[in-house]
Amino acid sequence: MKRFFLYLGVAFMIFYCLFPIYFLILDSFEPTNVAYSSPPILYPIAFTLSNYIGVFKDLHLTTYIMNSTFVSLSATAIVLFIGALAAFAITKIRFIASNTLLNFLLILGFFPAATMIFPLYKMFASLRLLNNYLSLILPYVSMNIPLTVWVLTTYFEQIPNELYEAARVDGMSRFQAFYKVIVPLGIPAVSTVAILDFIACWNEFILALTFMTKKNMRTITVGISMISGRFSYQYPWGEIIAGALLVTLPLVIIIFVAQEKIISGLTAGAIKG
Amino acid sequence: MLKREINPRHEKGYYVAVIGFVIPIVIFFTVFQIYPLLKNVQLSFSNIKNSPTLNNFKVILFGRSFWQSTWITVRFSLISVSLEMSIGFIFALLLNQSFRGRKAVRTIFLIPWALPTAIMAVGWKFLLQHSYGPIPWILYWLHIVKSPPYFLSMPRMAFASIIIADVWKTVPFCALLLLAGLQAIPKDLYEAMEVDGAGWFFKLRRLTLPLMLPAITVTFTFRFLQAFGVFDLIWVLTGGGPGNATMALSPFIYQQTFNWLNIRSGAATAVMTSIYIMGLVIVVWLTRRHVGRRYAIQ
Repeated sequence: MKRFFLYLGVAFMIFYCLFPIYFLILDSFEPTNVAYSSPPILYPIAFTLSNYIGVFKDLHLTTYIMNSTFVSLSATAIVLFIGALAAFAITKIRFIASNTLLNFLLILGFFPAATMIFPLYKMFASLRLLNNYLSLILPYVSMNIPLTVWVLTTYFEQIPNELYEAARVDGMSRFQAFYKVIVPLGIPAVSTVAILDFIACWNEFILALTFMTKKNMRTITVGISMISGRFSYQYPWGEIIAGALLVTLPLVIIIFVAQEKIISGLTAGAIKG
Repeated sequence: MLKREINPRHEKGYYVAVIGFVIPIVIFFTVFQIYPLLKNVQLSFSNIKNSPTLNNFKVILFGRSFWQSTWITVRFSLISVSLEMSIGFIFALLLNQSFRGRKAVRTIFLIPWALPTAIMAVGWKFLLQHSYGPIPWILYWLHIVKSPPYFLSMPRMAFASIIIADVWKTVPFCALLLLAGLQAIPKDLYEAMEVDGAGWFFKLRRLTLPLMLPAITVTFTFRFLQAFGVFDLIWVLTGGGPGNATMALSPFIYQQTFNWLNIRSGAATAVMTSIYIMGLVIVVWLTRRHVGRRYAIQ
């Protein structure tokens, strides 16, 4: 009896997570006349790929994906490098204000992007960087510093100090000790953070909405959510949803490949950071 | 053997090294986070001719919109985070049982979390559409409502919509965080209670809940601060409307700044929002001793 209720609960949880996605997948494969029928039909009766073809033809999805990929990868690479440097300094060189710095970063991370957006916009406008990848990469780096440093600090703490000290005694400089000893040992942590940072950049919306005013510079979140039909009642739902599902696919693949890493990174980051 | 700590400060080039390793992140967050926050303060206290004034604050603090936005934000954060925590806790309790396919369920739980909020909001906008969206009709067919409700064009329903979407996205995430807390509770404590003949409710009330209190508080705090800055979801799903029914603080700042080009009111609202955040952080800081800021993960 207890097992029965347990599995009932499990079934409900799966249903909870997936039912919206079911309707979206259903809609993305429906021809327009079926998709717009009212009341809606909740099971598949017709099948077409036209939405998926249309999303590449009409909606510049390829451009958006390229933009998002480039921006997210660059920002992730930079934040990993400078975040790892800082986490190394905090855990291995151990300076006086390191705890203050960590707490400061934590608090800084709580301020919503909306509270900083106009000065950033003005800054990039005066540097002529609007519609330039840099205007997203740089703030994304900054945005991901708290998470990166916190999670990496948690992991680097577990690498024995003796290893660092031995490297130093052997005559390595601090930087050599960093990239020859600590980074190779910290690769699992670094890849965990890389995934979390990449997802955060890929999903970012408000800065991309504001700084990328040209259509061909948009990232996927803005590109897809700002699509509108020629007339407001001609909202091309099928194509929008096909696009939405397509750009989520890389994330789902990442999840399936690296779920253990993501969960450990999330709990380390969210609980301690 | 006595553990000998080398004081790294006595090494050659210590200060140069510290500065060298930490300076990149300091530069980044100074330029892209601290400077904008301070610049907003300056903007909010100045007028178009750049002379000091309190007028921007007078306009927003004596107007209705700002307080309305504050109220909407507080209501949204409190309601959705409370729902997320309670449902998430139940899900975490279920996930903490052993059953077949547990790992697969945990993977599925990551899907709503990883979905970009803006994209998820697009999806919900479709699901909640009046004439061809499935959710209003399902509610109607289940006889929960008398006619398919207009989710996005009625103020109360629009507010409910953003809560529904936010709860859907975040419950699995909260569940995973709480699950990490549950797994940190030593199993022998439960066994000891079972030997003494405790039922499941007693165990939940006297063992699980007290030991989970730090995890619950931390998750609640983090989620609350996050929800307080909600933008993507509202901007895409309702655009702050209908009217101003879902205009939380972040979209309100954005609307003032970029739609109405009222930069200085926007800056003043941003400063007020920052003050709220700081207030919340201070409250958390002062109470951290009482809830225990850290707890073991493994």
